[in-house]
Amino acid sequence: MNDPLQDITRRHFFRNCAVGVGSIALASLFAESALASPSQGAKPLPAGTNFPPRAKNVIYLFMAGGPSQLELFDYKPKLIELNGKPIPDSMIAGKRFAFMDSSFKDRYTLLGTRRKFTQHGKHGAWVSELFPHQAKIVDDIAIVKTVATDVFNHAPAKLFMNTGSSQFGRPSMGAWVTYGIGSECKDLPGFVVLQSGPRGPRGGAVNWGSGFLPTIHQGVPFRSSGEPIVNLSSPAGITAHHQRDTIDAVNALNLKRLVATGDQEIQTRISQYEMAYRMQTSAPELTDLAGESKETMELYGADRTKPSFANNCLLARRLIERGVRFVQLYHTNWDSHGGPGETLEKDFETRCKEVDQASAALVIDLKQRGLLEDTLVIWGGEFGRTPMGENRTSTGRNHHIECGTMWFAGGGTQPGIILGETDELGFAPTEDRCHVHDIHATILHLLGLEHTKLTYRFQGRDFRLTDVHGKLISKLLA
Amino acid sequence: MLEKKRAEFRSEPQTAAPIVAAATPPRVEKSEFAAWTLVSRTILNLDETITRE
Repeated sequence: MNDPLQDITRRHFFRNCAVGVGSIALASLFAESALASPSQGAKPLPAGTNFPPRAKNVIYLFMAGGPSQLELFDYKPKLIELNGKPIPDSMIAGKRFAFMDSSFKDRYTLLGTRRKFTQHGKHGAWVSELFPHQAKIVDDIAIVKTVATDVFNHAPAKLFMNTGSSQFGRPSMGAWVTYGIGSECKDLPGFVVLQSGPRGPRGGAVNWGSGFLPTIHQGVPFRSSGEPIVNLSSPAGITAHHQRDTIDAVNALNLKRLVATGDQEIQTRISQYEMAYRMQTSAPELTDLAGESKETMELYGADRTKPSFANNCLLARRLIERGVRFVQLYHTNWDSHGGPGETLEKDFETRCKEVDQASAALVIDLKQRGLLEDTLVIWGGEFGRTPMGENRTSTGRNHHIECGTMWFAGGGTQPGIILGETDELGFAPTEDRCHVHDIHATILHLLGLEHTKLTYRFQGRDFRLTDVHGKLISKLLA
Repeated sequence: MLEKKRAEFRSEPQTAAPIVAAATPPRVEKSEFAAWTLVSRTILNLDETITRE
């Protein structure tokens, strides 16, 4: 990981001391293939890891907008009992909420869920009627009810969940992971992003950005129908032979430029042109679901004729089968404030229907194929929702940083557990609070990475995904 | 590149047609124009062309 060019950002400087630095650049360009060569003797640790990994791949189902845990996994009879009553002042003293200060002229009142909850699985996990399919996989997942974050608005909270910082400029988790341990797929990017729902996630591309890491680690968004990447196929008459000659010429000239300037971003461009050439074949094959059996399509509720979260879940499995390290799915919009298109009634139900079956199917399918052992599946949004109602055109719930629910499956996590407990109103954790930094530390741990050791020197100091925070959540480990 | 592509298109002129289908200037041979098209594609894809400093 010690790329001698890590500190270089301005090519002008290096143009002036071209020869020496350029040769180092070349050495590092070819170092990657040396890493990938088969090793001899005793079984070594996979490249980049600090200890044996439990998970090889990650599929992160990002529920953009912040789904309400109180309608799904965090069952609070007391909250139902106190529906409409004001929240005790002691609970909210000194706390801040998005919108509420301005839109709430009266005191905040508690909102009990209108959804029915029943217990499922060996450990009696409470799951609401809105997730009938996920209710059936509770023995295979770890439900964490006490996920706490620092920021209460969408874009910064998404950034925080992805990068460990609420400001732009830091690498996302997928970028850190491929930087740390690379990818086993040479024909597709190591970090792929798929999207579904009415609009893109707040914050946009920085959610899967590479920050100060080399841009080769950036997440690559694929479209889930048609051409996976716009303009990936060659224009009319440009045969594979012409394309090969063009890429060879471009790369040869770029390599000269790399040697002359030492700019590692040229190295990224050379690699990406090679990748794009291979993807002209590999990407259409990837997104063609024709080879999937009828049973599989029905399990996910996937339909080849229209893009959906279900299709994306199936694509995610196909991606990790091909060795892609980190796949992130975004599904919008879970922002149930109670306004038009964001009600906690019909709109919320629609969202639940869109994700429930396929989220469960992914876990079932991975398990059947023996892939769940090596694949960490993550389900969750950027924050939870308040136990207090928020009155817009209907009553919804506001953003809540104290606690929200996520679940994890496979990849060395403990199946069939509920981790963390919240108070009787579901306002805050009472035990096993799991902060975003702790979740990051734990995800890296499962991949064989010690979060304090995965660093990158930038602007004079070492940066980490967990910054100076993060505690391993050992109860989550199998 | 130019010489290689020129030779290729001259020996198989029909392969040049789809590349230059959109527009070929008058009095320019299709094979010649296709060869230059591929050279231009290469230049326009160079890091130095794309990256503005």
